[in-house]
Amino acid sequence: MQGTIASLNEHALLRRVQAGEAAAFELLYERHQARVYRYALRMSGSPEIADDVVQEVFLAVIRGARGFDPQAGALSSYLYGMARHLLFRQLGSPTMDELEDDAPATDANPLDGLEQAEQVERVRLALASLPAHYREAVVLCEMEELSYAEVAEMLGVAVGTVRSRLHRARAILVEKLSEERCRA
Amino acid sequence: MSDGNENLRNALRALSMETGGAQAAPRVKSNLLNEMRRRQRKTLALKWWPAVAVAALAMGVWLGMPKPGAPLAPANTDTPTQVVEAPAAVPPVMAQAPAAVPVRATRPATYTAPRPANQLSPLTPWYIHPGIPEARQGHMVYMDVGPETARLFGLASTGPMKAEVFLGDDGLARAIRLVRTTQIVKGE
Repeated sequence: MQGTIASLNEHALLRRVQAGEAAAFELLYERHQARVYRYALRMSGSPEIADDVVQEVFLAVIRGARGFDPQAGALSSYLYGMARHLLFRQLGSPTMDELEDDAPATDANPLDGLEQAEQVERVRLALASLPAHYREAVVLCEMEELSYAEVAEMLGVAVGTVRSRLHRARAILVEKLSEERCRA
Repeated sequence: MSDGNENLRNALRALSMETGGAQAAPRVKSNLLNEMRRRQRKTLALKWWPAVAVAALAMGVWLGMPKPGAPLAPANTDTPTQVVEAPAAVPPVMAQAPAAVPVRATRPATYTAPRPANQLSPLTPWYIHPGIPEARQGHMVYMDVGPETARLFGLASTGPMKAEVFLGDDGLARAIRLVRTTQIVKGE
């Protein structure tokens, strides 16, 4: 039975979940929960918020996954989209100022000479302080290693916009890390 | 790309690896499965409710109908016409008769004046089952029976016949007598 379910495509699996088949739901959950959780954790920095987001996303799946169109995109994009919506509701939507805030490019190397553990900790703090849309670009492109096209589909923006946000995000991160280095 | 960006990218990768194996807490899955089962139960209840309602209705109808398998059951045209207090002396019950069921007298009386006892042929004992107690008190029910019922008693008839059924006080049929209409007229 499990073998038969495992061979189903995502849409067929989703239909079985909606028909109340617990085994189908478990399989779908195991396939997608980790990615949704990691995305929510990296965006929020809070395991509790990430757990809540995963629960809400999969509850929506159990309740019928309204709005999911298999012709329009993959189920994973749909799940990310729901997680994103929930996260922005909790974290607050970014303002236009944040989106237009163009940080200057810099060639400084604020992480130079630091131990890797310290580098990671400083980057974690700097990432958490980024405006949500820029943080999202870093999380999806750099940490989740999704392609620009996948991220663009998920966010509903052009590929160029993703590229631009990522560029700005990196610049702001470097600037924040430099400031931190100067203070230290 | 500058060294700064390269270092940043490496640090981001290291940060990513820190949370690379992160998963939602087990309670999340448990909560979701509980919700799944709750919805499954609800769906099942909604799915079977109409069938249960129909079954209950059918059961109610069946309980209100004469039981199948009784000698009088095929005679849909059988109509009780009168209920009369029977005399105390009724033939004793004998033990080898086929199973039967009570006959219900539900229609109002349509004819009167049962014939004097000395003009009647004897009642045929009609046994429900061997364990049924003897009935010494009861009622005589006068009714019309169809040819199907008459045939069950070995009489060839093309039309309805008059019948007299003795019911014990417990409502179970104990004896029957089929009579031709001409005999009744003659007897009266």
